[in-house]
Amino acid sequence: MRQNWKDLCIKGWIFFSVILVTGMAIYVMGHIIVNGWRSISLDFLISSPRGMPLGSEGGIFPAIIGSLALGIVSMLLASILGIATAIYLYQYCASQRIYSFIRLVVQCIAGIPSIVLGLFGYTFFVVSMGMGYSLLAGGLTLSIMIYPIVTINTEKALAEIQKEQTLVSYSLGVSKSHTFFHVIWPERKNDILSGVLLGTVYAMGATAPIMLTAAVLSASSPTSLFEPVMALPYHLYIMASERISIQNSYGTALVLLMVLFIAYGFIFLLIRERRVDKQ
Amino acid sequence: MSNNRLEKIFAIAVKSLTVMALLTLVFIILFILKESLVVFQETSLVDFLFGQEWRPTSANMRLGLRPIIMATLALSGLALVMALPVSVGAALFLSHVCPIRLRRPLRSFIDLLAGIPSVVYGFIGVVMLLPLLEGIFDMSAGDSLLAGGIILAVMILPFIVSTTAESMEASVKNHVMTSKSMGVSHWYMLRSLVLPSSWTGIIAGAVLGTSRAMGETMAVMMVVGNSPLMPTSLFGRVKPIPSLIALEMGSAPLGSMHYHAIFGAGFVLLILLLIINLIFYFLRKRIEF
Amino acid sequence: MNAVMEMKDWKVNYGEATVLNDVNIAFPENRITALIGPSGCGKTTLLKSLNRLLEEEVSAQTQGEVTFKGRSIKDIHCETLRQKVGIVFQTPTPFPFSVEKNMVYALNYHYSMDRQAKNELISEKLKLAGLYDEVKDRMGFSAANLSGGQQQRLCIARSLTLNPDVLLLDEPCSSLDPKATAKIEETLQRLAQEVTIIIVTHNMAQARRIANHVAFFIDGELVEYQPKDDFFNRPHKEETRQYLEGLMG
Repeated sequence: MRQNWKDLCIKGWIFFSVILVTGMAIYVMGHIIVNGWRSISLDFLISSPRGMPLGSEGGIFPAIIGSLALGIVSMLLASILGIATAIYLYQYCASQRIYSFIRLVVQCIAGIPSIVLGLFGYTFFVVSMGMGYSLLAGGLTLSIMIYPIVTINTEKALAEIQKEQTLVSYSLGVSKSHTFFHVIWPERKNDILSGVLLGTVYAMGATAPIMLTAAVLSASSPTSLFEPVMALPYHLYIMASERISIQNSYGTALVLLMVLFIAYGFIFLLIRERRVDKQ
Repeated sequence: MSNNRLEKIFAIAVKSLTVMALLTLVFIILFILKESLVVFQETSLVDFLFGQEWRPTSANMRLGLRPIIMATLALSGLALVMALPVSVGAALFLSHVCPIRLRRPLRSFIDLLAGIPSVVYGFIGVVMLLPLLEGIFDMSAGDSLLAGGIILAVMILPFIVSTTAESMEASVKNHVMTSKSMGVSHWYMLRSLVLPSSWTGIIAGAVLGTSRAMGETMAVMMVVGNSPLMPTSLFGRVKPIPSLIALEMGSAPLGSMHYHAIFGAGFVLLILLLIINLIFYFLRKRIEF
Repeated sequence: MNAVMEMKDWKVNYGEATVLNDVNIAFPENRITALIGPSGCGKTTLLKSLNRLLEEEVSAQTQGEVTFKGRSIKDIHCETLRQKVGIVFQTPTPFPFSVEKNMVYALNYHYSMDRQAKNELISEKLKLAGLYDEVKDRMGFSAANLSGGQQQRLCIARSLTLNPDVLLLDEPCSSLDPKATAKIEETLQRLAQEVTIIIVTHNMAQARRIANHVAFFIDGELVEYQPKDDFFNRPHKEETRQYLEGLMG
C-alpha cells in the first residue's frame, strides 16, 4: 500500500482535530456539571437572592421564572409572525422573485447582531414607547431575534409535506386556510412546534438583547408585563464578571444549561414522535 | 363564519404579518442610522471611522472608532485562524472517516455545542481560561486579546464544522465509489478529491464563523479587558464594538453625543455583519447547486 | 483462448436475498463479453464482485472463488487488483476538476512519473478512448463542461491510465444519445485488442453489434453463455429463446 508522509499528515490532522474538539467539549461540560452540582439545592432553586453583595447567598428562583417568562413572551410574538411568514411563502407566494427576496430579508434579520437589537430595543421600546425596563420590552426585542429561526424552521417543516396533499385539497375546491388547519397543521404540527421551541431556547439563552431592555440583578418574579425581570443568563453574567459568587455562578450556569437541555429533550421527543408515527 | 370570509381574513392576516415582519428590518436599520447621524455634526465620517482615540467621557471628547473596529477585526481574525484548521479536520472526520453509526450522535453533539449560550462560554472563559493564561504566561490578569480569540474560536467551531461537513458530504457522494474503484487509499482520496472539491463549503463555513465571531457580545466581553486600545499585542486589552455598546450604553446620558456615538458604532457593526451574512447566503446558494 | 478472469461457484447474498447463485463463468482475454438479462438480476453485482468493489457494501456475503489470471482475487491486494480491473459506471462520474486533473488523479497515487511522461500517457489514453481531438485544447477546463458522451469517454480514458487488463462497464450508454453511443461502441471495439471488455447492457442490439460472447442471466443465475452467433441464432435454452423473442424482460 502506497502510504507516504502526506497521507500520514492528513490522518494525524483529522484525528487530532476530532480529539481536540470532543475532548474540550466534554471537559468543559464536565467541569460545569461537577462544580455546579454542589450549589444546587432545593433552596437554591426556589428562593430569591440574598446576602451582601446581593446574590452571594440565596437562590435564583426569580431568575428561572423570569427566563421562562421572557421565553414565553418572545415565543408567542415570534411564532405568530414567523409561522405567518412561512405560510405565506409556502401557500401564497407565487413569484420566485418575491420568494427569494423574502428569504433574503429574513436572512438579513438573522444577521443583526444581538447587541444592536438590544440597542434598538432600548431606544425604541424602553424609551420611545415608554415601556421602561420591562418584560414586554425584552420579549419584543427577543422576538425579533428569534423570528428568523422560527420562519426558516417552519418553512422547512411545511415543505416536507407531500406536495400532492395540498394540491389535492385545492383541487377539491377547498380554501387555503381550511387546507392549512385541516391538512397541513395536523400533519406537520410536531415539526412546526419544534421549530418554535428551538427559537425559544435560543431566546432564553440570550443576554445582549435583554441587558438593555429587561434584565436586572434583583426583582421579584414577574407578575406584570411592564416590570423588569431577572433572567438566568444576565444573572450569570453579573455574578461572574463582578465576581460576586463563583460558587453560585456555577450553579446558575448549570441550571441554565439544564433548562435548555430539557427543552432540547422536548424537541427531540417531538421529532421522534413523528418518525414513530410514520412507521 | 363562512369559508369564504375565513379565507379572506386568513389571507390578509398572513400577508400583513409577513409584511410587518419584513418592514422591521428596514425600520431597525433606518432607526439606528438616524440616531447615528447626529454624531456627524460633531465629527466627520472619516474622523469617526479612522480616528485613533475613543474618549467619549473626557473633557476633550474624542470619538475615533479605529481601535474599536480593529479590535473587532483582530478578534475575529484570530478566532478564525485558530478555529478553521481544527474545524476542517473535524468536518473531514465527520463526513468521511467516522463510522456511520457514530455519525448522527456526533452530529447532534456538535449541534448541542452550538446551542450553548454565549454567556456560559464567557463564564468558562473567566473561571478556566483566564487562570490558565495567567499561569502559563505569567500575567497578573488574563484578560486579553488572546483570551477573547480563544473563546471565540471555541464558540465558532461547531458552526464551521456543521457547514463544512454538510458541504463535504454533498459534493462528494458520487465520487467516493469512483475513487475506490481506482484503487487509491482513503487518505489519498481525502486530500486529493474531498478537500479540493469542498473549497466553497469551507469558505462558506469560514464566513459564517466570522459573522458569528464579530457579532458575539457576552463571551468576549467577559475576558477581553475592555480598554479601547489598538490591538498591538496578543496580551493587551481591547474593546470590540459589541462590548462598547453593552458597557457604555448604561452610562451615556440619553441624547448626549456619547449616546449617538454608540449608535454610530452600532451602525458600523450592523452594516459589517449584514454584508458578511449576505456573502454567506449567496455562497450557500451556490453550494446547493 | 485464455480466460483472464474466472468465477467458480460464485454466490452473493444480501441478508436473506440471494443475488447471484452458483455462477460459473470464464471471461476470455481480449474479447468483448456482454452480460444481458432482465433488470435486477444481479449483473451489476457480478461486475462489482470482479474488482472487489462489493466489499465496500456492508451487507454483502459471498461464497465461492473469483480468479484473475489464475490467482484468487482475495490474495491480490485491493489496490493492485483495481489497477488491473477498471470499471466505468452507468452515469458518467467525472471528478469536479479539469480534464487533466481527472486523468492524473489515479496516476499520481500509484506512480511517480515526471511531467513529460505523464502528459504522453494522458494523450495516449485519451486517443485510445477517442476523446483526444475534442479536448486537446481544453485540458485545463472543467470536465463538467463536456457533453454526456464526452464525459463517459473521459471516464473510460481515466480508467485506462492504469493500464488495466480488464475493463468493466455497467450500461455505459444508457444515458447517452445514439450518436454518442456509436462513438463509445467504436472505442470499445478498438480497445478490445488490448483489453478484455466485460459489458453489462440492456440493449440487445448493442450486444449484437459489439460482443464476441454473450452471457444471459435470470434472477442471479447464468442461464446461457455462448459465442455471439450461436447465442442469437441457435440458443440452447427455452428461456433464452423466449427472452430473445421479447416475451420476457
